[in-house]
Amino acid sequence: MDITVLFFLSSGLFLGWSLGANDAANIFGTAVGTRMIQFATAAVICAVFVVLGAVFGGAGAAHGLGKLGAVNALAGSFVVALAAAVTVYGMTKAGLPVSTTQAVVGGIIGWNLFGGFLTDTETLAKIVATWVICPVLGAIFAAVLYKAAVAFLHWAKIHMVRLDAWTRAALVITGAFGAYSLGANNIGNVMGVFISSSPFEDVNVGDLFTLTSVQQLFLLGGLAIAVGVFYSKPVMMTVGNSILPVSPIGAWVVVMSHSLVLFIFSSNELLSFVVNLGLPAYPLIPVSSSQAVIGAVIGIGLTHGMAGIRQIKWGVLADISAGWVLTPVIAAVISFFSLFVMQNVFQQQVFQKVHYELSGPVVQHLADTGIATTAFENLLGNQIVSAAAFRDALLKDTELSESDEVRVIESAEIYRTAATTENLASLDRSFLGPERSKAVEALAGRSFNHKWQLRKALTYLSPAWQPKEAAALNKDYNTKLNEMYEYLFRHLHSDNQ
Amino acid sequence: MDRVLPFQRTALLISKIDEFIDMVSEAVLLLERTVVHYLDEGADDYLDEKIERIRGIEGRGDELRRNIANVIYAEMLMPDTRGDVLGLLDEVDTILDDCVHIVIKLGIERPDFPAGVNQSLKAILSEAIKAAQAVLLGARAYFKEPYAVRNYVHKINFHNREATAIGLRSGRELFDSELPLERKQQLIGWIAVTRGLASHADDIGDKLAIFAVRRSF
Repeated sequence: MDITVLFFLSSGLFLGWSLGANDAANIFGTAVGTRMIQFATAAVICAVFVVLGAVFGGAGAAHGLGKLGAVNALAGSFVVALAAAVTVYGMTKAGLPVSTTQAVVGGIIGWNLFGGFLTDTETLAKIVATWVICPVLGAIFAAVLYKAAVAFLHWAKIHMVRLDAWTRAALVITGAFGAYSLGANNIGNVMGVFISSSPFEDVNVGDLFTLTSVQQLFLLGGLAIAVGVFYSKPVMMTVGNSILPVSPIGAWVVVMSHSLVLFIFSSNELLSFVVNLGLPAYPLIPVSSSQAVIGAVIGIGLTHGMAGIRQIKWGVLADISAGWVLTPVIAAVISFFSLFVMQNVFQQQVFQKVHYELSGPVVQHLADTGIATTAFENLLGNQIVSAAAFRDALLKDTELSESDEVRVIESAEIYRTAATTENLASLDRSFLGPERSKAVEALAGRSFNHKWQLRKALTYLSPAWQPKEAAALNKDYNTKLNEMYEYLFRHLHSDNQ
Repeated sequence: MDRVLPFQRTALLISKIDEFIDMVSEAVLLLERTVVHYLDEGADDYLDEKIERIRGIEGRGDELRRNIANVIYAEMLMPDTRGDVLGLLDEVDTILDDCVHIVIKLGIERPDFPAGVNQSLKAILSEAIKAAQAVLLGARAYFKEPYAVRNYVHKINFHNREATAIGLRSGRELFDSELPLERKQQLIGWIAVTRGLASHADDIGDKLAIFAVRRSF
């Protein structure tokens, strides 16, 4: 068991702890804030279901590395995770609900700046968009659901005592499902990057079932999240009653609306289902659980008109909004300086250099896709280290549209893959499916310098590797196909530069 | 609370609250019957029997109310409204106390009411009983239809005003009569005590209205 891996794993566990300490408030904050459920009870329920979600529901993340997968060195992942975890920890101590995912993205931006990698402006735009769109959507859903709930309760005339019991049960059930989703959806971010270097072996529990090494890793990450949950009281109280006093019914509406926003606007499967029914497609948007919850609380306040608006503590809301903005920024700064320390003081490789070259095949490929290459002939055959330097050189004498610029950089990236006997033997055929696996096996003995070459070879061998037309109906299929490509790139990656 | 399944606890508590309000309602009805019987027939065994019965209801009502409070606090139910719920039950309990106070006072003083005062007292009592019953209906509505409480509060206000108007008129008539002052004092006290039930119901109605407003979903 490599001690270095265990050390690096610690930052993932800290990130998991921070996630539990901050995000548990999105699930049980209003229930605890309204005193419908005691904090200890909520923490236990949340912890149990988070672990179950991480181990049994996180299977889908087994091939995704989460956001940290963008970092191409383990020491770099350690620093980025640590920077995100420290940022979220600080915000948790301040009682502010923030997005752990955005903290990780901020850490990655710091890594990009340090290593000379390019930051996708779309990523930054998405973060900024969630600060506005998510709370607005949360508010709209909460307002509509709250009005509907109140109208139903007026009609149903349920006795107050019975309503109290049912509301409590509803909060527990909704919270349990929410905790399961929290574990399932976030374990990839926390532990995904450590899968390939997992220190665990598969364990057979008698003849009952097998606990795979990935599940054990996710169990460890899930336990870290679960422990963090027990430190989430300050953030729970902020969400639960520091912004606006919420009734028990309102507490349930907040949790339901935030879950609906997350489910509806981030599920490719649901979108495909809706489009298959002949209904119009709606846009999928990046969503943040923390931001949707705050929006939902405000939405309930707004349903009471001026009386509700007067009750909203706008000062607290301003602090929370500031926390959202500062989280990725602080994480980026901590990440940048920590990378410097890790690299120069601890002599660890925090990033692997990526080389770019406009070779003959690359130029031909770009010409085939309609990009004229005459303008950057002076770069032909030159290997340039770092994406930032390559882009600067590219744009020195030419002007390209943003999409063309991205395509040129992606095509020029040198990323060596080789279909060796060893790689093919350990291929996860159940994940890829028989037809795609057969196409990969047909590549035996071949190697490629660029990702697009591997893509081209596979699509030539099998139409199953061909992405479908970019339409709402095909979004789910194309997303899954992309995950398979990313898995294959990592699995066949050759370090020979 | 007795060992019962979790889902039975809710039904048990609801039935206890309903039983408590039923007890107060029974006491109010017994009060009306007792006073009317006394005004028509005078003091007899019926009066003594009803006094004991109302006192018994009061004792059981107090015990039940305490039991309800224990359950609500022990099970930590309705954290946002339990103060109002228990406050409402306490206020309803004071109606029960008023009923006991009136019948005991009647049993001790056994006053002789002249015909005019007799009729006035019956009229005031009728309005006061209606006000008290409206409080109890409003209390029941508080638990299931808080938005309907306002209707009952309106009725409570109306019956209180009527009781006050009748009390004022009969008080003036009493002091315009030739009765000796000490009798006037005693009889005006009875008008005040009877009207006091309506006035007390009106005070409870005001609090009930606030409880209902606070009990928003």
